[in-house]
Amino acid sequence: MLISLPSVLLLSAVLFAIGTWGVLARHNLIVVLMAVELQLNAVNVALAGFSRHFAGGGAAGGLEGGGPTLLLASGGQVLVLVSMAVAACEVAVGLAILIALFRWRQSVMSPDMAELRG
Amino acid sequence: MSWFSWSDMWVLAPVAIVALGGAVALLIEALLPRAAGRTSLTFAGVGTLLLGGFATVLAWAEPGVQVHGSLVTGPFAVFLGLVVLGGTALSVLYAEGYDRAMGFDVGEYHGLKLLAAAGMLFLVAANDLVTLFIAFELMSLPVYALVAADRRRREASEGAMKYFVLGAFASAVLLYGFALLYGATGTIYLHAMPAAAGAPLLKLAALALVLVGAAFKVGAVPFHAWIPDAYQGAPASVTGFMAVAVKAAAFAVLVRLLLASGLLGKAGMDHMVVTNVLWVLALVTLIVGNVLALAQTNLKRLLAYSGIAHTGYALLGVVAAMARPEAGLAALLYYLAAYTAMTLGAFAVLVLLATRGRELGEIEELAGLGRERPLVALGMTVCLVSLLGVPPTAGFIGKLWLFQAALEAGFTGLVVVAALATIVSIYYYLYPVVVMYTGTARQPVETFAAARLVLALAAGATLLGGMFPGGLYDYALRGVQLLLGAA
Repeated sequence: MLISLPSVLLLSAVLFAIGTWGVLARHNLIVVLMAVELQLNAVNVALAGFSRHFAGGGAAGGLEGGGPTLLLASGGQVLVLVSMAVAACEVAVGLAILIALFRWRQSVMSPDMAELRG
Repeated sequence: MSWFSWSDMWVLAPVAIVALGGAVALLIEALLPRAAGRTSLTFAGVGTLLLGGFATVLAWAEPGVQVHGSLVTGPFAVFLGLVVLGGTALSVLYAEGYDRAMGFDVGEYHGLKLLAAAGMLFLVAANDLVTLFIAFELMSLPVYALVAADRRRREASEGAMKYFVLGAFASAVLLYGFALLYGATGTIYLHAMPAAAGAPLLKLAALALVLVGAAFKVGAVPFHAWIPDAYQGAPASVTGFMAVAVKAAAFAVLVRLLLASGLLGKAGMDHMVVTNVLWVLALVTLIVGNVLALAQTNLKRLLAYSGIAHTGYALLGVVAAMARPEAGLAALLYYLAAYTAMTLGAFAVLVLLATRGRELGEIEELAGLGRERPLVALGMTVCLVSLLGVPPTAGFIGKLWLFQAALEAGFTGLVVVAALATIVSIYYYLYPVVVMYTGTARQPVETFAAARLVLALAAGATLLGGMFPGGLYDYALRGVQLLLGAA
């Protein structure tokens, strides 16, 4: 079954919007971290969709030759893999900061974090 | 074509040196006993950065697209690479005495600074979206941890959390922009993008997202909310680093992606939309940064808002570049270098006045510094006057060129606002100077050698850059011309 590029992009946009809403509206910082993850994964969907589109429909299309040619044809897919690794690193740092914060405040809710005034 | 070649390794050497130095510094801190000596770690860190700087000059001087298209070397990368490495080296140098004065025993942060510097160095030369994203995150992640480094201070983790949430959000938006840019052009290579035919609407959406992501990192209004809190929460020795190096690298991303869009110096609907958005961004940032700085009584927060205001001036160069790419971008590069020197000088004073576990807080606490420590007060005055933009300092020349570029590009109204904003800033930059030279110190001022050295270097660079700006500007201009030619 062929899934068209616009529907992939629509899915990606909807996921990204949900993630954005989560970051902006939710007060629980753990949920906020999850929402950021959702945003990154929404981008991954778009990247994979574009990559397949450029490779000519099939995942293996245009990938012969290896080396830089492979990267050229599947740059989007490479970026997906990289972004998954980066997302994991980001969460590790974020949770560490959250734990440091929790030790001071005994809370993970953002309204409790208003001692500094922008 | 083979995967491995020694010439690729040579081009990657500057980044590898700094990243390895950072990893080794982290290992030393983890494995050796604490008494192993903070001082030696500091000098090793500065040495690594100097070595990285030499490698940058040698390996990146030749303009061209390298490493299978992943990096673009040349004067642009060398210029900004040296700015971020120099800023990092100075901030590593002054951290040593700060640690002793504050009883701050977290040596990991040298390693983290070096890792972030490696990310920035990678960032200014990156030429494909994958490298750009990795470099951007390698720069960002250590800095989040650095803000939270002083766990004894209540405000540190709060500032770090705010920075992290907004920073991660900005990264996600930026990555979405990358995805759409890839979708619009069909390539991940920045130098190939302008030539690629693409869906204009997709490209515009991509640029909008990239602009928002970059605006967060450079601290443009209305994406500046994290800056004062993160700056205040971070140890003073880290704040200076964030203020200069991260900002310079983030501007590099903005410039590279605008170049990749192929809109600079063109005309048409897309060009007009992007120009107007940048124009509004610059205008709002100039006004809000300068006006809010007026209300600050805490020196660190004052410098934070001053940093926002200077983002506004730098954005003037970006706006000008939309019509006249060469003049606008060259002025921007020179300004980033000048901003690095003068801001680090001001932060060096903040760092060297930290005593007995307490940082300098209110501006009033500077009272009597002029009598107690005339040279420190003089250095601080030079830096503040340069931030204000008085000749013969680098800050003056930088502003002059930015204003000139914007005028030539036809943005007269924006320049008038920027000039008025500068007049407003006279108050908040000269107030600390007045305080320093009046009143008496409440307690004897203790300072330490490393931060005095940083202050002397920064103030000296500010004056020299103001008196002999030609060479620096020409080099920046050549870098911009080469990038424009390649794009």
